[in-house]
Amino acid sequence: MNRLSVWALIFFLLSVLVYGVAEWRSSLVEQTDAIDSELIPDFIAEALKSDIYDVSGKLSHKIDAQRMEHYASLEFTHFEFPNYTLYPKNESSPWKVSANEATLYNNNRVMLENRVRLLATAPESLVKEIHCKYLELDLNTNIISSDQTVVIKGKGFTMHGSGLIIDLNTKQMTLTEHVQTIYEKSSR
Amino acid sequence: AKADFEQRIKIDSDRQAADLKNKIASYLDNVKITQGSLVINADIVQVFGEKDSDVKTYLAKGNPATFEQLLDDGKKINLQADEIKYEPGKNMITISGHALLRQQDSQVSGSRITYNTLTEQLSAESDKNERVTTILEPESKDKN
Repeated sequence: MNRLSVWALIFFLLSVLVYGVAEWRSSLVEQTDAIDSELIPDFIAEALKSDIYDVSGKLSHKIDAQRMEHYASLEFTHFEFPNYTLYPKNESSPWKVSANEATLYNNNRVMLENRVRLLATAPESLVKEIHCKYLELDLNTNIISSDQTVVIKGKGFTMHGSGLIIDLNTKQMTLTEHVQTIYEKSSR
Repeated sequence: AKADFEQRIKIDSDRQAADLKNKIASYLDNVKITQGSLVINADIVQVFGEKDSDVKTYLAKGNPATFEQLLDDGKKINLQADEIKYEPGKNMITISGHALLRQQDSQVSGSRITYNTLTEQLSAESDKNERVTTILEPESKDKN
């Protein structure tokens, strides 16, 4: 091993080292770029108002929201202070759902969170209002569900429980875990 | 007692189902209705609302469904039947199907008994083949 080959070996190792470090640092930088691009919404709408019609041309639901951000690659849309108006089948008066925030996934399922309110606009509806922290709404089937605790206010009663499922089309409601319902004294 | 009827009616149960169209709320599994000293235990209770009044009818079913309440004189009344219908608006309780009323030591049975919660009066009826039987135990002093 004469001096020349020793120097060649050192030089070789040095260059491999430099190349490795450069490669490693560039891979880091590139990665953070990728995450950033997904977090930037593809489009934003302020004071959004939109009516959505179903295949047969019937008004399915309306939504208005203070702010909307759509993330195409992540396939979801985020709303701030959304107000949904739902028009279930064979029902004259609609239901309204509002919350502090909601996330719509492209299978037409909406997750609503924080101060969620479901209101029946029909005057003589058995159920008037439902309050909860979290609610799932399937816009295709008009089925609303929540596994969190809910408070249901109706004509002359207040109901507490969790495991709520309401089908706005068939107008059937169930609470898989009912805690208690209190009926106010009916005015005789 | 009469004070019971000024109180709110509470219903506890494991599950609940409501038919929003026909305005019927059903309570299922270990159902207990309480209103002051009045207690109804049943397997299922349905609550019917009326069109434009908030008067409600509570229909309890069980094997049997039971009803008990402390009367103004402090005595307790017990009712049991397959079906107990409680209409607070009319102060009426109608029990039917192996209906049995027990109070202190007297007992009335028949196929249908109606009991007015205000006047504390009752009337028992029976189908053709069943008899209304009333057993009145004398108030004996020594019996505690």
